[in-house]
Amino acid sequence: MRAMPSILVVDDEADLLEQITLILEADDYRVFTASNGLEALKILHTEQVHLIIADIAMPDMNGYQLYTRVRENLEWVTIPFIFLSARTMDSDIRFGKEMGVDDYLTKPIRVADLLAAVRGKLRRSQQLADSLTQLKQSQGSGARFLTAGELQIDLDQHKVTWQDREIKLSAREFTLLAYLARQAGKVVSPTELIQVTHQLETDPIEAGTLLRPLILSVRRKLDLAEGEVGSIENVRGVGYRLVIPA
Amino acid sequence: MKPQPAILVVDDEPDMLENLSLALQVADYPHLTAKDGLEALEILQTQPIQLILSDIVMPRMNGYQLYQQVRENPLWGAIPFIFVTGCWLNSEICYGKELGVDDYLVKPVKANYLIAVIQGKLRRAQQLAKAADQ
Amino acid sequence: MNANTVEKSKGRILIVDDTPANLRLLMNMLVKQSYTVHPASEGELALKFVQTIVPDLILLDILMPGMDGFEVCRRLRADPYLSEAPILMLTSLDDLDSRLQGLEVGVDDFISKPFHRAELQARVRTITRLNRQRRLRALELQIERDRTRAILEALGEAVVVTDIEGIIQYFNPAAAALTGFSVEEALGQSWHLWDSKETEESLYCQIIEQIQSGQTWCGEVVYQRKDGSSYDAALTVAGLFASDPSERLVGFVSVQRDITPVKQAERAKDEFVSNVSHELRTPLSVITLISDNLDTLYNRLDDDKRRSMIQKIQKHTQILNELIEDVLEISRIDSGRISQVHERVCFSELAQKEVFELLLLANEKGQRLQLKVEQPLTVFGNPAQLGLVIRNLLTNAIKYTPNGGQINCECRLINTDSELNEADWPDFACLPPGRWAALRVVDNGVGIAAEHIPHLFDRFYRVQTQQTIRGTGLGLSIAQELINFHDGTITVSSVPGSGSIFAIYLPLMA
Repeated sequence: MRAMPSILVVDDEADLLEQITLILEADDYRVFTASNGLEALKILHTEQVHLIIADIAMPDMNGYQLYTRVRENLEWVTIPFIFLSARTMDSDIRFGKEMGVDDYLTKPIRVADLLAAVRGKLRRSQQLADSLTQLKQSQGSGARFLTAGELQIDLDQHKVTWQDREIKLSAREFTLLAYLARQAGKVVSPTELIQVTHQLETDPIEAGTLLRPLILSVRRKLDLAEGEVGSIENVRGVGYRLVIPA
Repeated sequence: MKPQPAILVVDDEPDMLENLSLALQVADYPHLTAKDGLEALEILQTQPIQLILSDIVMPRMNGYQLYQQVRENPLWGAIPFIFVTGCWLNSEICYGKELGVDDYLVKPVKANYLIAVIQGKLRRAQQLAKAADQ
Repeated sequence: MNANTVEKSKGRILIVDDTPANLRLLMNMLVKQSYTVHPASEGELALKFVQTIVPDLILLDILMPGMDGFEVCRRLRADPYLSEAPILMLTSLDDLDSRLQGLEVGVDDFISKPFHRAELQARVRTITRLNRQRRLRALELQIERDRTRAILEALGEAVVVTDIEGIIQYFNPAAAALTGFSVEEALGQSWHLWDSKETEESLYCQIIEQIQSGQTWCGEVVYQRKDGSSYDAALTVAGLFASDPSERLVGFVSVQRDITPVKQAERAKDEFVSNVSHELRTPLSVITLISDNLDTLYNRLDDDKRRSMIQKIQKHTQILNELIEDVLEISRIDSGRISQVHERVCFSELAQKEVFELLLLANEKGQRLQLKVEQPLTVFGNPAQLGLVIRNLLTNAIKYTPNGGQINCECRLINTDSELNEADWPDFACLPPGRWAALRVVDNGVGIAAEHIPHLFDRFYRVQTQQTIRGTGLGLSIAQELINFHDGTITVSSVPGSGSIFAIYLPLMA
């Protein structure tokens, strides 16, 4: 567990902010406070925050808006976010939860409830991070090599070899080849491939146009006969696949 | 387009399972049911599951134990887990939340509330999955 | 001829026979029995006749030139109006084939030649009597139906009748008025025609299920008119069942009543309650947290901290009190429980009293609070309520003006003819002509931005300023309601950074 997680609390009511700080600090958390969304964003940019607790009704930028901004930023998307609001109508709570907020607590809040939610969400985000790391590790160690006949792709070292000949590929070319190899001979559509190689969502025509030079370049470097195991096959009208042993 | 993974509903009371099933049906969510934790684990082994709704008090393996089992497997670590339970005591709610469960709903649960929670958790899971791929 | 005999015809009989002798014979027999008889010597004439009058009975010969009896019968039966008119065929005694063929084309019975007078008369009598009764019943039914229809048409409630699939078969004028669709537009359409976004998809399934179990369905729904506007309706749906022994469900009849005003009032109330709840929870949450903390962290806190926390509890308790007071006041105003007892009030004296009471508060903030009264002014009203309004404006001025600021209260007579600066007395030019008692509160505080001005008197509207200045959000709303009760106006003008002017105008009493 990380040492002394830090929590950002956002509320325009100064007295409330003070009391929550007391409670959280007494439970050994480091607390940052902000009285509006803009201040909160500033803090997020400069400090490492492990959990956010925010009111909803606030001037200039309300809690919903703050939540959306936080989720839009890749750096902060994994930070658990809790609403603490005096808006307690069923419709309010439904709305907040539908946004995907991690929890929705209502005022007045009991100390025990606040702490339980905080502890729970911090534990959850730690769990998520842990399982992600474990997954990545297991993928790495178990499937370090992808092969297709004499073609060998080293995922860790980003090296491609044919028999003993090393084939130098660019990063994008490697991504393409590795992805096709992972699909174990299944046909992949151009739109799917372009998402992987270019992080682009587009129509099949543009996808095909963008992919063509990349495919050509890889083929040239692989220098394999059409249909040979390890070569890239174009399945007309559907997509591309890596030819694997039958 | 790959088929949407199902929601897994775990409850030892058949009436409750039916209720939840109906609510999910109306909202167009494919779902599977299990009457206890062991059955649930079996299903998890063989089917892709995108969210779990679980009771707490169940025979053979209760909700807390199921939750621990699910979280211990890194393959299932990202699946949102929601308690839907009759345990309404504040101490019980705090206990459940502290475990890190994604949400804790006390029965009886209104259908529109349940669906809103599920939508939110799925949205969140998507966000996290996308972030993990980066 | 006896007048009675002519009118009391026992029935109309059409005789179709090409033999004049037969015609004469039959006519004689029947006329004597007080039937009205119409002869037709051939099929064509008979068919033409029935276009104008539907006879109670048709006597039909078989062998005729042109069209034979079977053909005439076939043609007659083809006409829906005549499908039930009794047809007696005149046949020869042993002519079995004719009888069979006659039955096939729809003949009801046969009379064999030679005619036996008594038998003929008896037969005719029975048949015409039965037929008359049948037609009378049909007529009564038709009258009944017409009357029901007339009732439905006149009903103020929207009635819609549909078949089992929900296709509209009947749509009364009230329904047209409510939904905005004309009768022509609605007939043949599905009853989903007025579904709105808020209409639940499962609604109709629920309705059908309940009706199939033998009950009527009652509930409230939100529908949408043709023009897109939505309305709330109290809906009742009952099933229409077949009159045959199967008694199966054949359609639905639904009645809609427009309850939009009621629902809107409900929604306004819900919103108010939600707002109040929100406002109450805010100070309450601080109080509970501070109390909890004082309890659990007592030993960890120093004296100063504890003292400050206790004072904060007092502060927020005070806020709660004010809020509850204001909510009660608004509630009284809304439900009309507010005192309507009006008396002569010396407005200027009232202003003096309120200013005096607030001097202390202003002093605490180092502010100068002054009152200028030109002359005694009398209005007709409730002194407590008017006092509350003045107090409201003054406390706002004190709150929103920083320490050391200046607040001027002025009370004077205003004549709509007088040359006054619009900037000094906001909206005075909009006053109806006459003499008015006017009071204004001028401060040099933070001012109010233009975008807030239209909402200033809304309930729970609070201008979000840099420093959160405490308020219930109801003060100005209450003030406006009270001044309205006094047939007066309350207005505002403001320059952000410079200050604000709030003005009240009341009809002056002589």
